[in-house]
Amino acid sequence: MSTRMCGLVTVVLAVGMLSPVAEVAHATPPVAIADGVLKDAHGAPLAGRHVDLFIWPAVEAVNVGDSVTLTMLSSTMSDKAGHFALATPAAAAIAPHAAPDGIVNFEVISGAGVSQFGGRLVNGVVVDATADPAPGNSRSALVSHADVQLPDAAATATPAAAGDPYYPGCVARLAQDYGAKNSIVGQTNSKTTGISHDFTYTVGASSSLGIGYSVSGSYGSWSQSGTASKSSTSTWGFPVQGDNIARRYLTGWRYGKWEFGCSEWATNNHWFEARTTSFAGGTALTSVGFPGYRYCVNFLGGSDFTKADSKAYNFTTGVGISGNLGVNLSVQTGYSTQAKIHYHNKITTTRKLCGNGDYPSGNTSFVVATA
Amino acid sequence: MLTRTGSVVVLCLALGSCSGTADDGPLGKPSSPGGVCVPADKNGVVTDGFLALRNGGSSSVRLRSVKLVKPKGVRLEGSYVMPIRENTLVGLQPGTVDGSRTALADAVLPARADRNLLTQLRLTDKAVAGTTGGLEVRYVVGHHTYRWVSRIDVRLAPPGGSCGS
Repeated sequence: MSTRMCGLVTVVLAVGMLSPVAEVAHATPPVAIADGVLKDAHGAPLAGRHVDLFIWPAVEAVNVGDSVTLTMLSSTMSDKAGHFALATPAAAAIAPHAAPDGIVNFEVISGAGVSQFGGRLVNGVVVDATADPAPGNSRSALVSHADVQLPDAAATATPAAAGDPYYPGCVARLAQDYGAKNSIVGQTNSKTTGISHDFTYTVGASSSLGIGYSVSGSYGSWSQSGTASKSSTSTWGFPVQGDNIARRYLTGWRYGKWEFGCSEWATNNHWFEARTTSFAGGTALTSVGFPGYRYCVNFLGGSDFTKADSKAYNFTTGVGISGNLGVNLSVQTGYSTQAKIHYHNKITTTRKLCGNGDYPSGNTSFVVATA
Repeated sequence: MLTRTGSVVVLCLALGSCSGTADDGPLGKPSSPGGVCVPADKNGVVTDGFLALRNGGSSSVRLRSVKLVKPKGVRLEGSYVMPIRENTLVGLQPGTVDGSRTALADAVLPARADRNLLTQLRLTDKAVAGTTGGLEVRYVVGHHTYRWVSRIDVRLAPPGGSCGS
């Protein structure tokens, strides 16, 4: 009898605790994939305007003059404070636009205002493309936090009359091929002797590459408006580095000037984007000053260290495209199973490996070998 | 008896305290993947002091145990924690490391504190390299058991051997 009572009490307890959880789960709103504030040309919030989420098709081979049609995935209205949140579309809607390695690229568009971001579709969830794609690694859903600013007062359309149908659509045409642009994909540093250090960037390594935006498309009118994700399609080895040097490793990404035509109500908006079209490869090196560091670990003679998966430093001017645009663009690469830094202590004397934001095994952007 | 067992299971689920572990405790998410390699001493022993344990929570953590992940040719002989001096970890060392180390089991890591994790590893065959696929640390906060995972692979080269590159 007592056993039965205990069992009943337990079941009641369990049901009592589980029910609210189930209700909460039903009440949870859709997860946002992009949010921010819609602003006018002066930076003031814009209320009650459409903000749309478009996705790029997976394009690799594209020639000057070719056009691609972007697909609208979801739409929302900015609230009184100009805030918008675009919900995650179903994976089935995203999957047809993903590259074979899962890379997907989005545009948040309102009038002629845009922000862009990329990710990787993994098991039905869009995640950070620069995180390690190896099986078993933890990944969480990507949310892009970026404001959208309209370039001028006339760049946002409103219905001419109540009840006008809203037919958003976007076509991008490759107007000019800028050619391959060297971009920084990694950095190793040795402030001492006896340490060899190197970087590898293999097939499937992903980088987040800056996108330039301009209404006129003319030199000097560009600024960065977002990023796109792209993966390498070939492996490039970089030479091993030695004593007292901080090296940046660069490889090429082909960039192009895209002309956008997007309809909203009965208005057509135009602008230009400078964005990568494909991986070009190649290797180049530059020398730089040493980054700061704080957290160290002893590095015994004869020992070896390889690092993957930490999100590398965001090189804000890492894409060398100023000759075409007047500004350089950003690039960020995660150390992953496809992009690794490696240090080896060749001598018998103990050295140190140090990180800037954490110990070398933790979440640090740079690793520096020191005496 | 069956009912009692069921009751215990249900209560454990409800309270979240009797079984199972979570990876999202105050010691943080699994570490970045990577790898280290070091030659063992003449007895085939290495101390791995490459990792730090950081309690990012507002309560103390009681450390329970360490387990090697997929060890091959290597076994765990002991696990310890020690204070971190001047932001520098002990690193990989052949043989044992003495000093102010304390046994990991039942060691307390105060809130917002960090410690150097030391694991003493031994090759099961001194002539052959051994590897592990990282390690797992189990720890307790209140009634909750958590797991912290290092994804840094460790390779022990044989005594007098080389890590290659």
